[in-house]
Amino acid sequence: MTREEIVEAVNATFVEMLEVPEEELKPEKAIFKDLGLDSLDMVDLMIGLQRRFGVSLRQNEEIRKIVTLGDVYDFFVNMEEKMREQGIDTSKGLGAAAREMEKREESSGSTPDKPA
Amino acid sequence: MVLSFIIYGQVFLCTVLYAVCAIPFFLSGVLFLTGFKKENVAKVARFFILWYGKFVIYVALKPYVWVRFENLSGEKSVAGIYIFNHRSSSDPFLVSAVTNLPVAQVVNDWPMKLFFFGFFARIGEYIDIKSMPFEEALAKARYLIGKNVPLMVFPEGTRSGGHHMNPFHGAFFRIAKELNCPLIPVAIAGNERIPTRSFKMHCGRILIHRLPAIPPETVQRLKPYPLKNHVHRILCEETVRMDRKLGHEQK
Repeated sequence: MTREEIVEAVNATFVEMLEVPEEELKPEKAIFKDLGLDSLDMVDLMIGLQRRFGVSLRQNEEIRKIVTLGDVYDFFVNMEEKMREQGIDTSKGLGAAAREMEKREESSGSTPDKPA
Repeated sequence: MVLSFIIYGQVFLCTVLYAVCAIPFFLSGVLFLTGFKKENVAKVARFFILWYGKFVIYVALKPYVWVRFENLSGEKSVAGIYIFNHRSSSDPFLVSAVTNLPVAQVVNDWPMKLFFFGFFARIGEYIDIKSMPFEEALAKARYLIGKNVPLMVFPEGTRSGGHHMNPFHGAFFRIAKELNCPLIPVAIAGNERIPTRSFKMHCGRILIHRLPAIPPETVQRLKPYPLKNHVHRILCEETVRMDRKLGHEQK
């Protein structure tokens, strides 16, 4: 996914899950202070982002560092870049790429037990 | 400083007077009317808290502070969720101007720990939103609304200390959707320095405006985020009008 596609997908999620007006969705806006989201809105948003990108965000520590909308874009852009650096094809979406990454981690973890 | 001393002193004396006069009636009420059932004791406690609030705002603060309540909705008091803006620590007292129905307030944890007020808040079944998860707050709200007890909520969570409004926490808007109950916006203006955030008192006029209820159909139609912002906007616009009426300009 390109950065523009990620931005579009994140914004679409804000609109779909929270009905935030599109004109409010600027990268410099702070999620809590400017857009006025609270912790329960964040739960709705995370559910929407997980569904849209096909990835699980529950155990992700980087999520806690997000302050602005731009940070949300950067979070998914960085996720996509990390996967590409590991040679994972991200053209079918982050969800498919994340599943392939899990498969690789499982198979590399079980290699010592495999017979020669 | 002197004014603060005088006003707080007067409120303290009135509180003692109210306690001396009201506690025998409260205890009699508990003894003869409640059968010692928790919910009945809570009803009696809420009744006394309500009239204590009215005593403070209409008697104890005079002649330094004048409070005027206007019901702009023309609607009767109902059991629903009343949404207030929150400028000052006098707001919880001003709540009692809005209705003659004994109410339960949604508070942070610290009021529950106050020696005198906390005791009555606990037996009055006030909701301590800081110490309970959402599901528990929903269950308690369902119980109170089911008993026709209006809930008084300050969704900013803390005093703004000025003419502005902080963003709203959405918990009680979600609860209104779950319970399919109306939201009643109530705007308070004029008390941003009565007292200040550092508890310094000033003289002044306080206006309280009860606005038309947002009916359950609208509450259901809107998602939680736009619903809380809709009410936020209504209260913002009303407080600007009220500040103009009081001769203050919003900064």
